[in-house]
Amino acid sequence: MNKGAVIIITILLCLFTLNFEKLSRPRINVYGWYGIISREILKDFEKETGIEVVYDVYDNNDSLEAKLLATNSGYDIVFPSFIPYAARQLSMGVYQKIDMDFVPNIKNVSGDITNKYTENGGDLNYLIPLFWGTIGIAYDENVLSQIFPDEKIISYDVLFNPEKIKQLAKFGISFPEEYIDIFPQTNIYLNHGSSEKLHLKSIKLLNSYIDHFKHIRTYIKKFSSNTMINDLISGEVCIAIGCSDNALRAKRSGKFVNKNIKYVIPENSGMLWIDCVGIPQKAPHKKNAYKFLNYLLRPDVAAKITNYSGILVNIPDSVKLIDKEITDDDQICPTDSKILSSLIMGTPSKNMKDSNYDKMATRVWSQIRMDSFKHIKEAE
Amino acid sequence: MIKLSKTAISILIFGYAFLFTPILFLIVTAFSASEIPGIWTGFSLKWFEALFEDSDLLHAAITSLEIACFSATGAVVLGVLAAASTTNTGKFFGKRFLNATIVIPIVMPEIIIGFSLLMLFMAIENIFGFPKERGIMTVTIGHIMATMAYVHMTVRSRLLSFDQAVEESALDLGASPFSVFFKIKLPIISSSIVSGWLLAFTLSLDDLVIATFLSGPGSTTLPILIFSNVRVGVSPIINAFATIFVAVVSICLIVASYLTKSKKRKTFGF
Repeated sequence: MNKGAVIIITILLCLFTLNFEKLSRPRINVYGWYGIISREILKDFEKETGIEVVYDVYDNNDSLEAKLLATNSGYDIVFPSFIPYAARQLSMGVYQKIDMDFVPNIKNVSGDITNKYTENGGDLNYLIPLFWGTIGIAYDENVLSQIFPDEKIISYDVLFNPEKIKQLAKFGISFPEEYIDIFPQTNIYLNHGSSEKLHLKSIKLLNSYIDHFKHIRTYIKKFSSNTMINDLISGEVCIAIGCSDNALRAKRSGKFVNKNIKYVIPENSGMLWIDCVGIPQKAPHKKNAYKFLNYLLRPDVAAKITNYSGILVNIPDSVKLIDKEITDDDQICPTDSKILSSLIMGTPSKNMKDSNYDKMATRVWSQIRMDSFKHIKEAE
Repeated sequence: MIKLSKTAISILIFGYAFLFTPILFLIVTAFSASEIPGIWTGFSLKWFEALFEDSDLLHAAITSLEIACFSATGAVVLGVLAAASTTNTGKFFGKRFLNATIVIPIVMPEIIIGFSLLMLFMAIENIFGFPKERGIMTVTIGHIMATMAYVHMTVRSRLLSFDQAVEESALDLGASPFSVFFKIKLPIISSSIVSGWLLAFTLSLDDLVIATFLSGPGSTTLPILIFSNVRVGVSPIINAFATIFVAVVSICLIVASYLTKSKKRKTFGF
């Protein structure tokens, strides 16, 4: 009995001192997505600067937001998604102003994506738009070419037209989890390809979405943004709305099981998503955070990130260093300014009325997902 | 020995299949060369190699084990003390209240435990400036709170079932309540302490919700890592890891059952 207790106490003490030793080295706490920045990239940074990188992962923006709003999260670098999260957090004063004197590589951040970011209310002084990609349609070419032999998939018609989606239903269809990834495209489809009503936030529009989904809801098998790769590879679904980087991974994995996964940015309604990088208020290692930020904005590091994860980095100079496998597919890695400027973005909320609309939209979408199609009243 | 009928045997087989097919499937596919988990394309050990190069996964595993060790020990200390006081024959103020409230963490949803503790830590930090940030310690505290009630239950049932006369006669013979606890009660409940510790350990090891709320820099636990991993498609490295985990746990269980068996023989002579 006594021997056992001694052994247990020694083990616990050892574990404790191990932790203590870790804390004394210069370090930086990063909170990011899993699988974007590889260990090698972090190790290179550690070698160059002698700063240890503690990299924690989250699986959705809500976890990040919970950490940020609970003041003093302890993190130095975070990667929030721009719309609606970072846009909202910016107005709450969650991030600190970045001193650009310490981040000379900010000059590499430019081009169409940066313009889109600032046009939609982004502020380069607080959050730098770093990762980006598109939301489009990923599908199994073998299945789709059988059902629609004479048609090329180029728009959301195949998913929004009840006659067409009906034929796909038995092979499985996956829609996004959040309204923000699907209502803008619905808006453009209902307006016959025009984006003039895209930024309107009215109850009337929400009711028109309800009417529209009434016809196609039964054909949708699942609502999931995170499981697209496995769903496509296992054949659970044949077509999914999702992110370009996941589509690339699905395409890569598909080769091992003889599946021909393709990805397309639908015309007029390709959605652009941006993940920013920023330094939260009260970050404990601010100087190290600047060094890390500057490191991430280097073209060679950016290219390494893209090659590893398939996520595009908003540094135009890095494109020539990216693997051919990625750059050859102009849908997954669009460089044509025509495509880039046609991409659409959701609208950040600016006032109470807007955030009221956001709440209504969330409710409408969860109702649609649960197969209920009650109209909402104007007055609410 | 009772001979089993055919129906009994088939029900037994179904029961085992229900419990162990998923785990067996996971172990078998860990040895597959395929890039996608769950598909067999030939024997390979490459995922085990990749596992030992994946420092993030190993780091998260160590963090999880650390938290589980700390919180199980903490939960045992508090749980045993609570069980000893609620089963005590003496009366004290608030005993019934304590009896009723101590099991609340079992019925309380984890998400509420996590969120309320987060709020509490924030408030404490605002007033006292401690704990300065959330990390391994706060997750451990959360796990102690969630698992203590389980330890309390296992130890309490053992304390209620043993012969009270032993305790009373020791007190009659002049032993202090303190030495009664350490010399009589503790040895009797030692097996339930061990099982309570193991229960708390496993509960802490697979908790995701509380850890998500209370974790801070450097305290990504294994469940958080695996859950975040799903977004980019699960890698067979997870299968390899689970295989090693199952192997280690099985060996521990076999050794433990062997040890308790031989110990019983010694003490009771059969």
